[in-house]
Amino acid sequence: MTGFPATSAAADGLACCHLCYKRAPVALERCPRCGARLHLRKPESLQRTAALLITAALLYIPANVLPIMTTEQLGRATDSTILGGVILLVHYGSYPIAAVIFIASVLVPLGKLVALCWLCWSVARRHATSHRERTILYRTTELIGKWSMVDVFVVTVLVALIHLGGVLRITPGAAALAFAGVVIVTMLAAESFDPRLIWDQLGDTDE
Amino acid sequence: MRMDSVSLERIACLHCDLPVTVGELRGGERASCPRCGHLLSSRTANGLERSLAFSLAAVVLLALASLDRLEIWREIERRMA
Repeated sequence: MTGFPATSAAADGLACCHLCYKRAPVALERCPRCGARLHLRKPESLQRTAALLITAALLYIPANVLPIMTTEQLGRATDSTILGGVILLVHYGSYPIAAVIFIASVLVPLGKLVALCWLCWSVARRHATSHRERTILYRTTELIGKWSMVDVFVVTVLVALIHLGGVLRITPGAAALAFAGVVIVTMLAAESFDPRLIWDQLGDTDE
Repeated sequence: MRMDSVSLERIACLHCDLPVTVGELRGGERASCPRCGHLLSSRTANGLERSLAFSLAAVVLLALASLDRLEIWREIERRMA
């Protein structure tokens, strides 16, 4: 096999089953133990991740520009965006909730997008340094990504709870859908990125 | 701990593709990749006892939950009457 560093299973034509961890020759095509498809690397990993990242970045615009929820108080409707909501919460003195919303719906999705873009770029440009650090960065993105759903969860809980007829009513806005899309698409992007690509450049500096 | 050749699992790290061999783990032990730190395998301490304890707790809670629901139904019937 060519193109893989000597310290990888792929160099010997061996693939590790992504479901049951069985190490088997990739020529078998399917895992001899559980029947899942065997790949040396996730197929078209970089291309898929990049496409999903672009989708997420585009969805992030309506998620912030459009209202995430509409509060109808005594017949008077007010729209609030994500950032507007954070500013309102700070104004009312609810600093912990404002911090949670800000971290979960602004910092985490943006950080995730930037981190995954950088990982893709570094693999495409064949950076041959800090493999371990980049793998840890990838693992962190994968781990914290789903927690951004907190914001969507807050809106759904508010919508379900605050329904006092004509006095006070909260309805979800279009941004809630776009934001849920951002979270799901970035999770798929993290899933389709193959961290083994980072380690495939191990040999580059030695040669 | 004696390592049987049967209990040794030859795998490759799913995060960095390093070929590694993982022995059988005892309760509470974790195996991480020596190169990238990815968690390869883990075994919960007292796994069976833990499952049993949680299952029993769930049974107790289920019993409480169904009791409470009966109470609610009774209340509804009382109000409807």
